[in-house]
Amino acid sequence: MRLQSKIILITTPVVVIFMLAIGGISFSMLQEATVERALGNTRSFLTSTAGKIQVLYDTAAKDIELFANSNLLQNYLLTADEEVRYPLLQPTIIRLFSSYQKANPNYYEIRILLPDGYEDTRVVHTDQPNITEEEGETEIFQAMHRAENDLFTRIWRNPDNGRISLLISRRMLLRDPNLNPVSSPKTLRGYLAVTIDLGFIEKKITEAADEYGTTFLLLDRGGTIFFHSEQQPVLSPLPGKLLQQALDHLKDTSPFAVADNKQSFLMLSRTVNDSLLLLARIPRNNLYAASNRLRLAVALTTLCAIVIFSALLFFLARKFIVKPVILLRNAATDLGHGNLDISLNQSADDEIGDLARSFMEMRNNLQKSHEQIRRLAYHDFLTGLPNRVMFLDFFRRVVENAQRHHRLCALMFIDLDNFKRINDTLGHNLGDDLLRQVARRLQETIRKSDFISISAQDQDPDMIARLGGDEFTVLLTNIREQNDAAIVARRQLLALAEPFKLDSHEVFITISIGITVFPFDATSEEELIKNADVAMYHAKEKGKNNFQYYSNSMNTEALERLTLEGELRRAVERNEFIVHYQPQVDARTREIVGLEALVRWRHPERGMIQPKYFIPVAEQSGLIVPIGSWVMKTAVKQIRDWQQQGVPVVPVSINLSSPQFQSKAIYNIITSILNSTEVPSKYLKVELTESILLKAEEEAINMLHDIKKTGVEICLDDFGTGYSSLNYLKRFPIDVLKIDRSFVMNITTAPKDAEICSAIIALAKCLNLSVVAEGVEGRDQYEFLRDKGCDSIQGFYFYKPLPAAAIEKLLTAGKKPRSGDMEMD
Amino acid sequence: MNMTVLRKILLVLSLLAVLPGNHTGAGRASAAEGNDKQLQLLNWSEYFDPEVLAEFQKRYGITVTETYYETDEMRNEILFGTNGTGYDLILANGSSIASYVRHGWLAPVSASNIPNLQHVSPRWRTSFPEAEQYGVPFLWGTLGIAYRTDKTSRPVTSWMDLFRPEEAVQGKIIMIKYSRDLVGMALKALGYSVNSTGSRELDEAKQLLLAQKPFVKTYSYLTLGENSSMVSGDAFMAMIYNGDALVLQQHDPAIAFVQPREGCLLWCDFFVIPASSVKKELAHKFLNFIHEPAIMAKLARFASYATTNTAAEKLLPRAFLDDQNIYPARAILEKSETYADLPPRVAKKYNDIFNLVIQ
Repeated sequence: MRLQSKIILITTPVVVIFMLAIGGISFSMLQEATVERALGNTRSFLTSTAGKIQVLYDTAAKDIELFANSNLLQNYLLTADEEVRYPLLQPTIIRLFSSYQKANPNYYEIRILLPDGYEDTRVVHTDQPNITEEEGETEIFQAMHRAENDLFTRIWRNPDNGRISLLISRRMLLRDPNLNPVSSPKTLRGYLAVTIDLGFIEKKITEAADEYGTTFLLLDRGGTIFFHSEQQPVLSPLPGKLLQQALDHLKDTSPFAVADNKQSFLMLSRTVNDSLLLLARIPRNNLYAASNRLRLAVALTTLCAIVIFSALLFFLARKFIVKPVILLRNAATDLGHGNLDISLNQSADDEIGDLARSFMEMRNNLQKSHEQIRRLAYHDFLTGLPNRVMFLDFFRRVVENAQRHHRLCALMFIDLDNFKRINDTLGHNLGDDLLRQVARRLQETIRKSDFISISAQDQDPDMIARLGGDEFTVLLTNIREQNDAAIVARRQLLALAEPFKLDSHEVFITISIGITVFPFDATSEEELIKNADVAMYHAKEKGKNNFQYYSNSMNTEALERLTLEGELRRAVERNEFIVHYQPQVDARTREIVGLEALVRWRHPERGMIQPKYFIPVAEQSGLIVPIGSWVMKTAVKQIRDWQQQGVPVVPVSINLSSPQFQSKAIYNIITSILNSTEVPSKYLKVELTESILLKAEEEAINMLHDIKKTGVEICLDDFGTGYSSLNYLKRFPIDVLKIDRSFVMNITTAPKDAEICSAIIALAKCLNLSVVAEGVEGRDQYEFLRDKGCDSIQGFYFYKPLPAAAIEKLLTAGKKPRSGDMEMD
Repeated sequence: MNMTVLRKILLVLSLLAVLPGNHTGAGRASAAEGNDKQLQLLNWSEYFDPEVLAEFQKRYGITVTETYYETDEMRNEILFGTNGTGYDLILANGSSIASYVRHGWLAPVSASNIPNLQHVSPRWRTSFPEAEQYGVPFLWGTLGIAYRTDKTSRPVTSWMDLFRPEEAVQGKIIMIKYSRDLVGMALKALGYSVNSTGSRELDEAKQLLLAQKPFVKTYSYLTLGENSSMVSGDAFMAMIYNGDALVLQQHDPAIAFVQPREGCLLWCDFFVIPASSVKKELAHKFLNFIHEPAIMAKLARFASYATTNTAAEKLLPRAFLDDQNIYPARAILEKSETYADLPPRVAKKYNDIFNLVIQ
């Protein structure tokens, strides 16, 4: 069973039982409280009502005592003579009783009854009918007449008005003042009777309504019901059994239960006074209905609480126990699968936190061991270079990448010449030392390889590895052309030409290098390795201290290039170069408006050599810088000479190469040439290729702006062949665009090229640049370009590059070339 | 014909006989008795000429102190409260004398001590039970209606004008707060005797009174000065004794007095002497003094009531004697009555009705 399930299994029953218990207890408490409240309300109602009735009785008793003590009343009663009493005295008594009534409106009838029951005086609030003045035979008069006490109270239905009223009466026992005041007996002179309205008690009882449908009754101990909150017919008797129960429970505060055939009730009884009691009857169903309504609410609340608490417990357990454990488990699984890139939250301050910390410590140790193992497995312990295993691994990846990205890569095998002899002579220790130093120098050479490769993303770095003994391999992962490897090889040969210091010895050592190039020589690693090995042995056979390509043709080319470089260097020294100028004509007037200076090499043995054969070598060898400066100097001087001779001159444009442009000197060279020759800057233009701009850094851009400031115009050569980013046109201070010859060439045959030319011309117009088309060889081309608005035309259709003397003639003549007039040289 | 009716007829006859009568008698002052030179008199207010009291004081050195009551009812109550003690002289209406006597409150009047009784018509002296023995007649008059002639639409002629008032005077009516006057005049208005005992008649009277009740401003008695509510306009109609109405007329000529066509109550006031008084001698002296014809004439003119003293009448001006509001016309007199004693339990009924009406 999973940990989470176990937690649920443990916590849920606890929560459920706990909540159910709380729910149950709450319900029973609520029910008890509800019932107790109902009973409490009923009890307090009974108590307050009983109190009110008692107060009424007490007050009435006091009042009647007060009335009875009135001298006027006593004198009146002692006056037996009706002739005196009614005409003379009674009005005063009536006034007296009226004043009592005004003070106590409840006393709606105050009467004097004579001993024989005659109603002597009757004062009522309003004109209430009087059934009889002869009360002698009435039941109530008989009762008061026979009563033991002088004070008599009775609740009865007043026949005069039919209302349940309280009658309180008092015997008037008086001593005749004409007789001896001490010894003579008191005689009964009548009754003072007050009838009290019980309306407010009736109202209190009959209108008492609670939410439980409780019934209230006021009754006497004989069981006569005076007021009943549900029934009008009063004075009906209470069933004897119920009466007995009510009397038995008068002192109880808790209710007693009774049941009739339909319902069961809780009853409370309360003594009012000696004769009266109050009874409350609460239907049980109603009493519990309220709490039963609560039952559902409590059940729902409990259920909600169970759900919420369970969810909370589950969530907490998950957050603080299950999830950390799962994370740990996952981490352990990852670790087991060799993934050491693990990070765990170790902040928890509990056992799981401890476990996480221990786990991470274990992982760190494991990682260290792993790294060590990897180092040992993939590196040569002597030189620290990658070993054979790593090399093979890496090589495979490089070949795959090269294949995917259609790149060239070169594998070089390097073997120290005569290392065995040195090892034998100087001993293994110094031999090892030598190997370390060689490794270091070889590493230096590939770090300088930046000029070879175009930096590109996901490109593997070049690598040097030691396969064992005195064998090294070099892997150039991305070269432009096969010859690039030769450059590195030459650098390596040079790097080892310096003597090594071993202990006190100075040792010279040479190497033999075998080069194979993917994909020209082979496409599989095995074959490439074999080829490199073969090439290396070939180098040994060639007398060591050299490099050999696996392909023979490459060896020849490498040799040629090597020769050419040497001759070129000599040519610079011997000034074997000359400058030819190709005119540019105005597309409309056909007048010569500019010249492009083009360098030519006049080889002493091989004659004139075209730039395309020697310029790449010159660029790679760095000779282009002096050559370029020479060309510029020569061209500007030519302009000055022509000016001095009175030849009308036009601006000349000079090509700047990448190395030239990267050298900051170019600005100084331009300004110094212009200064020394005093040729106005408007006669000089420089041409740059897109590829130069591509690599240009901030410094170069600033320099370009400086050049521009001198007044020298800047032409963008070969426009359309490179990235042709419009951004150049924004970032660089370009004045002229030169449409590359490759577009012009097909202008009449390839609609796309025509469109491109049109677009370039339109773009230039928009940006206010002038456009020069190169390589215009036919009339159609010319006319197309002219019609599209191209400014200047350069090409064989008008002129091919010419020596200075020929140009001088053209300029002097100032004549326009005609169509078909171009066939010169 | 019952006793009451008989008595009424006798009274009227005697009055008719008395009116032009002329009696003379000599006063004889008896020796002063009692150590205190002071008499307590229980009396109506504004009834007795203060100058006469001053004269009495001047002549005999006896000061008469008056205590006033507002209605006959009040007088009875005062006396009940003191059980008839505390006074030397009481002015009471003739119909009360018998019950006072029965209750033992009064001492007999010694006629020999009041020589001026000779001027008093014997018919007045015997006009009420026990009156001859216990009382000395004073003034007599009628009970009628006073009203503001400027407030009613037509002259008042009937008791019904009072009990069923026209709208203009509703709420402006003042009724005397005395059971016999209220119930009696209601009976009179209904055409019954003021001394009716029949429960049907009494019941009708009760209903009439209760019906009138909403229109009654107060149950009390008018004050007679300039501040009287009849003068001020707070009341437009009132049950009133004739002389009082004439006093009011002096303040406002718009006030008229009417003896309703159904007839009036005829009344006569008597001085009685309480049995408890220890100054009976002085009281007799006072009673003799007031019946000196000149004194009595002065008293009658002051109160504007007819006197029972025939000698005094001779001293009164013709206009006074001819005023039918003071000396009612025969036609009225023939229809008028005096209060007779009621059977006790009928009196009780009067009390009940009265209480019901005034409360």
